[in-house]
Amino acid sequence: MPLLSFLRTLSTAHGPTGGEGAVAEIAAQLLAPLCDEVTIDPLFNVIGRKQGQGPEPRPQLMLMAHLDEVYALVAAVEGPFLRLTQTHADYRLLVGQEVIVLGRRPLAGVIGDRPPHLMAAEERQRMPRLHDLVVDLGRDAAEVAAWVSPGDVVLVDRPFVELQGRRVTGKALDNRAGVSVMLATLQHLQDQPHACDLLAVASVGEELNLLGAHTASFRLRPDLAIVLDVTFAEQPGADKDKTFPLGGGPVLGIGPNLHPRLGEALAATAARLELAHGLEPLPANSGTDAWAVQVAAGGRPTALISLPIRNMHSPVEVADLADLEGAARWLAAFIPEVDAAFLAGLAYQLPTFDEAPA
Amino acid sequence: MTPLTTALLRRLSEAAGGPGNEGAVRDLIARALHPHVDALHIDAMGNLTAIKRGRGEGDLRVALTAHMDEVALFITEIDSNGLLHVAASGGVNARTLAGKGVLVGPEQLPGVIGWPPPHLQRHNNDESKRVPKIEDLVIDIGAADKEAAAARVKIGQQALFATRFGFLGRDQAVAEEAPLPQKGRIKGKAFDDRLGCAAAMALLMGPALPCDLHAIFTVQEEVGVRGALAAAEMLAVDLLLVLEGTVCDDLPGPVDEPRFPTTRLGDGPALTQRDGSYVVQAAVLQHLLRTAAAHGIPYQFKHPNAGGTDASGFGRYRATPTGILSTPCRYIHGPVAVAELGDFHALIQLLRAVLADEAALARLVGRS
Amino acid sequence: MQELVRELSTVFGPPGAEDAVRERIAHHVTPYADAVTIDAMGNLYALKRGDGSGRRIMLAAHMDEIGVIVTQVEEDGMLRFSGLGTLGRKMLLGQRVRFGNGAVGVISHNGGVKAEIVENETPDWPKWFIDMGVQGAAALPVGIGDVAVFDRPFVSLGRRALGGFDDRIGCAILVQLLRTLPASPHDLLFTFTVQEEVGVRGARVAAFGQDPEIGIAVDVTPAGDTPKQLTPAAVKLGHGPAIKIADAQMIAHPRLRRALIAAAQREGIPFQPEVLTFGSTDAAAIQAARAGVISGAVSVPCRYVHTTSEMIDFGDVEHAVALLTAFLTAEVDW
Repeated sequence: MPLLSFLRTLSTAHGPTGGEGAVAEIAAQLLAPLCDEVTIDPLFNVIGRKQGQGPEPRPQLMLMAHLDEVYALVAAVEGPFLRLTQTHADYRLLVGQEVIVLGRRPLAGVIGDRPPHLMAAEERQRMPRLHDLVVDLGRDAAEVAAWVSPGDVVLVDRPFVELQGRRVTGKALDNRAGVSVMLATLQHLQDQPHACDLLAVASVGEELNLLGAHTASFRLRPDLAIVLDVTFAEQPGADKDKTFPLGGGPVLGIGPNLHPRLGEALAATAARLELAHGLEPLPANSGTDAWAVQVAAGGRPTALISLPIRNMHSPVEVADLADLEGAARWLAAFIPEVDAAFLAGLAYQLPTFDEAPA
Repeated sequence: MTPLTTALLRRLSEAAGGPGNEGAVRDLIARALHPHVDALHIDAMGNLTAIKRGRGEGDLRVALTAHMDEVALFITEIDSNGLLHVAASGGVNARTLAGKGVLVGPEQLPGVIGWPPPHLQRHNNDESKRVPKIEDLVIDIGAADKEAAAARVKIGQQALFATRFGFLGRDQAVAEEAPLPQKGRIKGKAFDDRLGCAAAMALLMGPALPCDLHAIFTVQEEVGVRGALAAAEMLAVDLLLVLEGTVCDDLPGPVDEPRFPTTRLGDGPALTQRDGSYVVQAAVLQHLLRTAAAHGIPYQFKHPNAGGTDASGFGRYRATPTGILSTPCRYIHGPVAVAELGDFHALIQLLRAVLADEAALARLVGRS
Repeated sequence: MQELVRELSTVFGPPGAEDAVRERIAHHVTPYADAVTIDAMGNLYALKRGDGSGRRIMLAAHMDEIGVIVTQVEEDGMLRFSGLGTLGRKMLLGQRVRFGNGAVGVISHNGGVKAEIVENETPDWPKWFIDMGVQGAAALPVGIGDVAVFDRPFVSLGRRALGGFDDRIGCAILVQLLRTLPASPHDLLFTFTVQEEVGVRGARVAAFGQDPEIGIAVDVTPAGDTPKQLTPAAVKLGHGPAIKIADAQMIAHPRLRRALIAAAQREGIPFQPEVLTFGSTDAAAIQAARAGVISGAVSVPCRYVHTTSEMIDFGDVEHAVALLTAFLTAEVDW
C-alpha cells in the first residue's frame, strides 16, 4: 500500500485525545501485515512487534508516532445548540467550520457566526471568544438532548485532498503523517534484514499529557527510541527561524531532549543516502512524545524525526509526500545499522584513568 | 582539612556543561573520584553514579546528589552574516546577556553577545527599557559569513559564559594545588550546581564513612530535572540528600519595596523546609537541625516555597526520605555568581556529621 | 454522615502536614480494613480484600487542604507568607489562619486602613502579611516555615453545608464506603493521599508503589450554577455526583466512565457529566503510573472551591457513596 493510502485512511479516522479507540483499531489493522504481532493496550496504545535477525539479546528499538488529534469538547447543551470548551486547536478557526459531534452517535454540525450587518463596528474588528461559539446540529432540543451530553468530543469535518504536485491537505496530519511514515518504514523492512527487535508504537494522549509515550515506555522498556512527529513548515506569518521548507525533507531534532550520538548516526545515514533534511534546534522540551520517552522507566537514547507541515492544528494542515517518503527511506536505511555494538556505542563512557581505583 | 583544592573547584566552575552536554563535567568528576571510590557508572541519560562502600557493619545506603549541568545558550541558527542566533537552555537571565563574552561549542571558540550602541537606540519609547529578548541577541565569533561560521560552529552546540573562577576580596594569591581556603568569597560561573558537585566530591574523596555512600551527579536539571527523573525509578537508598547552589538575593532593594532574601551569604548552609516542588519530611529536617546544633554548625532556612531541585524528580516514583542542603550563591543563572567558602565548608561539615552517626541515621530511616 | 464530614473537615492538614488528618482517618478505617499502612511520604492505605475474582482498584481522596506558609518574619512581628495550593488573593483580606499549634492570626496587606477599605486593586503577593497580634518578633508563637490553614468552621445549612470540604468530603466518602460496602469481588485500596494541592505528589508515588489496575479519585468539582458564570459549566449543586469526562490534565478512560454511568443508571442514581477546563485531581497522577492505569473520577459538586466557605449538598454526597457502591459491588466487564 502506498504511503498516500495510509495517510488518507488515517487522516479521516476519528481519534481525539482520550478517545483513540477507533483510530487504534484502524492503525492495528494497517500494522498487522507488517509485524509479527500487534496488540492494543488498555489505554489504546497500539503496539506492533517485529523480531530482528541479530543474535540475542537483541536491542529493542521503539518507533513511536502519536495517534491522537486535537479536539474540542461540548461544554453545555443549550436547547438545540452546543457550547464548546477545552480545545487545543486555535478555536478562531472553528468559526464557519463544519464539525462532527461524537455523541451517542456521530452528528454533523456547523459552527456559524452572526451576520456582519448586525455587528457593531468594534465587534467586527475582533474574533469571537471560544465560549461565544455555538454548534448548530440542525435538530430540535429534544433530539439534541437525546444524543449529546457535555463532554462529548467535537472534531472538524474535513476531507483528505491531494493538491498540486505531491502535496496533500487534511485534518490530523499531526500526527497521522508520523504514523504513516512508521508504516511505510516497516513496509521497506519486509524484505530487508535487521538485527534489532522493532517495537512500533502508535501512542495516545500526546496532545494533552504524553500519556501514551510515558506508559508505553514503562510497558516496553526499549533500549532506544525514535519518535516521529510533525514540525512547522515555512509559511507567511510564521517566524522563519522556527520553520522548515515544505518539501525540503524530514527534520532531525537536536538538543538535550535527544541523544547526540543517536542523532549523529541518523545524520550520517542521511548523508550516505544523499537525503536532504533539516536540523531543528530544541533547547529544552521538544513538545513531542520524545520528552516523556527519554526519561520514562530509567531513560533511553531518544531521537526525533519531524515532518514539516503547514497550518498545524488547523483543519487544513498541508504536507508534502516527498518529506514523508524521505523519512521512511531514512529510517529503513538506518534501522539495519542498529545492533548490539551500535547500542553499546551510544552509552555514555567513563574517561580513561591514570591510576587504579582504591 | 578538605580534600578539595582550589584548582579542582576552578576546573569544575570553568568546565562547560549546558543541559544535555555535560560530558566535560562528567569526565572531570569521574577522573577526580576514580582513585577514591569503589565503583563508577553512567546511565542511559548520562547521570554519573559513584559508590563508596561504608566501613560499618550495617547495610544503610545514603545517596548524595548534585546536578552537573548549568544554564546555557543554545545555537539555533547561523545567519548569512555568520552571526549565531540563540535560545535559552534553562532559565538564563536575559537581562544579563548583552555585552558579555562567551565560549562556543566543544572547541570553546570565543565570542561576544552584541548590542547596538546607545546612539542608535530609540530613547523616546519603551524600547530602551525593554529587556532584550534572547531571540533578538546574536553571538559574534568574528566569522565573515555563514560559511566561515559554519566551518567552526554547528547548530545545537552551546555557548557558555567565558567567566573565570577566582576569589573576591582577597589580596593574597591562593596556591592552586593547595586545599581550598576555609573562608572568603569566590566568584565564577555555574556555582549552581558545581558547588553541590564539589561538596559531594569532598565527602567521597575523604575517609570512608560507616554507611555506603552513593553520589549521583545528574544531567539536565535546568531543563526540568530530567536526569533525576530518569534515575528516579531505580533509586534504592534509605536517604537522599540533594546538594544545591541556591538563590541568594540579600542585596538591599529600593526603599519603597521591601525585599525578603531567600538566603543570606555567610549565614551558613541553607536548609530547605519546602520549595516549589518538594516538601522535606519533618523527621529529615529535624535530624539535620539537631545534628547542626550538636556540632555548632551554622545554618539558615531557605525562603520557603521558592524554586525547585532534583528532589522533585527523584521523588516522582518512590517516597524516599529526602533532605535539601544548599550553598547560597548570588547572581546565579547569570554570567558570574558569588558564594562564601565558609557556607560551603559548613555544608560539608554538616554532611559529614550526619553521615558519621550510623545509629542515628538508622533510627531516622526506620532501620534500627 | 454529617457528623463524619463535620469531624474530618475541621482537622488541621495543609499540604505536607497532614498528620492530624491521617490519625483521624486511620482511627475510622482500622476496624473495617484488612490492612492499614502508611508510606514514607505519609499516604495512608486501607486495604479491603475481595473474593479473588475481581480487579485491584485504587480509590483516592486527598487529605491535604489549601493553606499558607510563613516565608519571612518582620521585626515588628508581622509574618510574610506564600500560598500552599492555588489561592485567589481576592479572598485573603481579613481571613483568619490557624497554625498547627493552635495560634491564630489575621491576613491583611500593605497600605493601611484606606487601602484595606477602598482599594480596587488586588495587591501582589509580597504586600500581604499575617498579623498574629503580638508586639515584636520575639513574642511570636510561630516562625519561618510554619504552615497554617484557613479558619473554616463547619456550618450546617440543612441539606447543604459550608466549610473546608476540598477534599475531606472525598475522605469522608471513602470512610463511609469502607464502613458500609457489601461484599465486593475487587481488592479495594482506599488511599488517602498527601500533597495533592501542590501537584498531585502523594498520588504519584502511591500509584507507582501499589500498581493498581483501575484508579478512581474522589474529589470536589467547581459547580457552575451561580449567577453569570464566565464559562459554561454544566455541573449543578444537588443534581447528583459528577462523573469526570475530562479536566485540564487528564481525560477519564472511556471504559471506566461508561461503567460508572451504567452503574448509576442501573440503580437510578442521579449523576452529571463533568468537563473542567482548569485544575485536576489525583486521577491524573494515577493514570500515568507505570504502564498506565484505567482511571477516572467521581466528584462532589462544590461552590466557592478554595475559599473559606466551600458549599456542598449532602444529597450529592450520599449519591456519590451509592454510585461507588453500585460500581464496586459489580463485576468489571472489560
